[in-house]
Amino acid sequence: MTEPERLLAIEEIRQLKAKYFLGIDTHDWELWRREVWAPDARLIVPELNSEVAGRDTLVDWVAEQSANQVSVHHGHMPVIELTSDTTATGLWAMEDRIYRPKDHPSYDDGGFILGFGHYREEYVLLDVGWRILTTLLTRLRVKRHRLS
Amino acid sequence: MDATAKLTAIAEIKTLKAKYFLGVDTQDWDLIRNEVFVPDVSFTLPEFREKPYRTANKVLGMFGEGLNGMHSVHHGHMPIIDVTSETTATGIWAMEDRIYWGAPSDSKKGALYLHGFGHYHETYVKTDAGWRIETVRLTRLRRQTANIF
Repeated sequence: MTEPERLLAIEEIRQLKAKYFLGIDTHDWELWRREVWAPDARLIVPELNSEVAGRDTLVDWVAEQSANQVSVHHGHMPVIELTSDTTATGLWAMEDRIYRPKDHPSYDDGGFILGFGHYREEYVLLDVGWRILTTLLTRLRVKRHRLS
Repeated sequence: MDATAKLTAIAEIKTLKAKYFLGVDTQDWDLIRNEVFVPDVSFTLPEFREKPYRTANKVLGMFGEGLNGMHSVHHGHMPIIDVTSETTATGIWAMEDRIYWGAPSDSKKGALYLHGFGHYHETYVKTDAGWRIETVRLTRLRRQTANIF
């Protein structure tokens, strides 16, 4: 790989993660299925004791978790390392906001949740482009607020 | 397009968007007129109306009126920039904005503070002077207002 090709791969992985955020915040699960995850993707969220495997299962699970709420996720300061021509690892700082209405089953935990953490990820280059293979989400802090 | 040309275009478009944010938040309308928008830019704010605002002069007039006496802070995140040819590109940016109204002395309400989140959906064109924003559509995930004292 030439230096520009390496840089372009890193840029493509950044944009892949941007599509992850766009999909989750606009509830565009088709975008997620089509352009974000590898078929054998895995998502691990230790704070929820959750580990889901397989693209369709994963997308359905996140869509269910995201129903009836507004979320805003921002990623910052990526550390992306190409481990071969077709594999890479990444670490992203994350800030998220979740807003839930009064009739949401988890509303009692607070209508507004502000969180910070990190994604640790593996990416794979398929024929269709870079896709997320695994994501591990850990949190630094979660603050639950009552909305007035 | 080879990797270098593509990366250069993406870097220039990111800088272009940075100038947009700088221009809006410092209310430097000439910067946006001269270095950011094409003259016949189209700017759509679906939360107000579906019909686009047209021409740089009208859009900047609307910005100047809308932000008169206010302080705004706009941040862009996580761009998805697709270079579709040597002279055209599309982009989506996550956006966070804060707008502070000055505190009117005769009001008990103090200063009004708006905090919002959304996305810019844009197209870009490369002119002789460099990349410029051609169309903008700003959609919102959420906006909240609060009174601050």
